[in-house]
Amino acid sequence: MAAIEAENLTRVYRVGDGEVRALDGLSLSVPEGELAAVMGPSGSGKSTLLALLGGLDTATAGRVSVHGEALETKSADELATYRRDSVGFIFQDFFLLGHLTAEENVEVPLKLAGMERPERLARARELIEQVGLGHRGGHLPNQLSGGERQRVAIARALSNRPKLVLADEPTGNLDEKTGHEIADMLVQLNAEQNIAMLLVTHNPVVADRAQRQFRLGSGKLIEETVKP
Amino acid sequence: MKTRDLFHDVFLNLTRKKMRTALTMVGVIIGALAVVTTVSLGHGLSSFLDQQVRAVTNPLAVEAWPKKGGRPGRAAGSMFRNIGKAPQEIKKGEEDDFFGSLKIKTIDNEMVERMRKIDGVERVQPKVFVLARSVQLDDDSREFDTIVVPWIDAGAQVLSTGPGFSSIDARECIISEAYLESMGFDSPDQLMGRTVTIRVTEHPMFALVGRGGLDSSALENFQNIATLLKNPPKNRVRMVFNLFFLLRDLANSEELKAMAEPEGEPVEFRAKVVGISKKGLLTNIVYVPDGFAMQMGRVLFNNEEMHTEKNWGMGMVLLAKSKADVPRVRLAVEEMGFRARTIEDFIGKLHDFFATLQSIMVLFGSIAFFVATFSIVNTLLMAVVERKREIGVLQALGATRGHIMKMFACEAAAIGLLGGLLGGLAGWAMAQAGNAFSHYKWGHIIGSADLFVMPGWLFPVLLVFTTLLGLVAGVYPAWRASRLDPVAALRYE
Ligand SMILES: Nc1ncnc2c1ncn2[C@@H]1O[C@H](COP(=O)(O)OP(=O)(O)OP(=O)(O)O)[C@@H](O)[C@H]1O
Ligand SMILES: [Mg+2]
Repeated sequence: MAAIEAENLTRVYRVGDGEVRALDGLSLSVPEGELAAVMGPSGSGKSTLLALLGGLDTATAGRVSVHGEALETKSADELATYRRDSVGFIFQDFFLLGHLTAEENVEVPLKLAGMERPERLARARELIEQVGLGHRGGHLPNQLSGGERQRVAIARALSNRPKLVLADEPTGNLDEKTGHEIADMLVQLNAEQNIAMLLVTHNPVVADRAQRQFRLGSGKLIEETVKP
Repeated sequence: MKTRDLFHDVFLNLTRKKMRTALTMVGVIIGALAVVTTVSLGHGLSSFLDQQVRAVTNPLAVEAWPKKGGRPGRAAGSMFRNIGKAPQEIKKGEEDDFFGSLKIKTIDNEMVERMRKIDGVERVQPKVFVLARSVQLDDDSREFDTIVVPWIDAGAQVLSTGPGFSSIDARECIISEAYLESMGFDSPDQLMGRTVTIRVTEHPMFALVGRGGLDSSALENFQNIATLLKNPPKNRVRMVFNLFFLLRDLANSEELKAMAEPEGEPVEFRAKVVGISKKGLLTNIVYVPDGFAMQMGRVLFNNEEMHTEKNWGMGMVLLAKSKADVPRVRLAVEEMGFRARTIEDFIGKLHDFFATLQSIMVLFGSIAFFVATFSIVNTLLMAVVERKREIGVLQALGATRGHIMKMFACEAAAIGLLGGLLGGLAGWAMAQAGNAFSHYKWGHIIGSADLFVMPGWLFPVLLVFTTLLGLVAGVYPAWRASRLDPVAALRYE
């Protein structure tokens, strides 16, 4: 069974009288445990694709299933549960909650899942340690550097032990060196934990680290390359 | 999500913007403060008056009043009600309110006999009013203002010191302890056993009634004038003449002559002080034995036959043997066709009055609550916009619409609850300050009684109410938050 299976995926936005086809009949598939990079010019539909795969948005047409689970038939609440239990998001702008410490940010998905406090605290500490921020767990996001914030975001994305991690330009806001560190971390996690990952990036060096690369253009799949 | 975690998050969210949360709460706080202070004052005042009335009123007395007629006060008022206005129509069933048709329904012997036979009745006697002008101690030139009350109206509970009355007709009195101060004594012993003079006067209106009442010719006179004024003849001159003759007849009638007579001189009664009574709210009270009171009452009506078998008067007092007998006596009196009045009726009216007053005050407090509701709605709508990104993040991390909705609704409810708590406490503190102030200022009247008394149900009811108010205010903003599209929310700058 493939980690991601998208078929004829279409997402149309109505804008005034016209429409924008953010995704236009896109089909792709990512095998279990693989790290795939998504590239393409701005506006080509990369973020839209991630939103559909992560159950944040629903397709206008087409079908998508993740680990055999069809998403297009799910209700809003079922999608929320799917996101909570199966998906980890990483964003370009980190999107940490500013009033919570690093550890507390990592706890949020566990709290939403109803985990008891001691248990989730232990898990948050462990993850913070794992991303190399052992001494920074009690810091607020604005007391951390960009790279450190993205590490916290990675820890948060992993907290619910997702089967799929969706990262939208995770290195986009970071300097080159820090960007590579983050990329290294994702690659390592993918290798160690066997989590399927879809990584949107503009950086060819980062993209090059993935086994599979998709190139989008105008909402369509233009090219797919797989490393031998 | 665990409820405990939800509450913790709500608490964190509220403390993030402390100033704004506090300002949003102000409306609720003011409303709660107003409600707590006014309800406490109303409750305290009515229980204070309740106590005061109970302290000086006989719990065993059941008064019996005829249902129709016998309301000279109202009828007398009607005489002056129409000054400058066209005469009122006398409607069926309300005749007794018009002086022209006032019939003094005196209670006859047969009724009194039946009252005496009611099970549980100790004794029956006429209701006596005494119009006292003054009380004066022998060997003292000063006259003091006074209210003379028959002993049956008070009951033995008011006696503070002294042996009390020797018999129902004894020429004795029990004087309020407040007179000690006016008369310049330190101890009750200085007053005990001395003799006072009580001056009693007649009342022109009651005297008129007492002398035999208005007969049917007076009624005719009034009615003729009314008819004339209502249906004036075309000829104005004739109308003026007619009116003149009618008014002349009326002026010449015995009744009006009696009314125009000068008041009689006050009649003096001498009485020995045999007791000192506790002072209530009314300090100038002198109690006299019931038989003695009847003698004084005759002066009021200027009628020697008043309160005797020939003319019992307008109302009777039935003294029950025990408190347990009161309801039965009351029922029997009503079955005989009388209006029954006990201390509980009077106190019930008192509480009704304060309840009405309280609801008016609470209504004013509700204006604050009304404004507070909009303030909460406004703050939360603002918060939904401000926290749009955060809501998007929570949705991405798996928060359901229900969860987002609950979070905002709980924040609103918490604002209500906390506002109610703070306002309630402030109100409580204010009530305590009010009590301290009133003890300092009016301690000589109210003693150690509290004017602000918070009823036990007030605080819980208040908190439930303000919490619900917050919840209601939070419904719309919470719904808006829960309907946010996660993708749009995450894009929001
Ligand atoms: N809510 C919306 N309403 C209208 N058009 C939208 C909306 N969201 C996205 N689009 C359009 O859909 C297209 C795809 O957007 P998307 O965000 O997926 O691009 P992207 O590949 O992620 O671009 P970038 O690299 O700049 O992030 C764009 O043309 C965009 O303008
Ligand atoms: Mg994008």
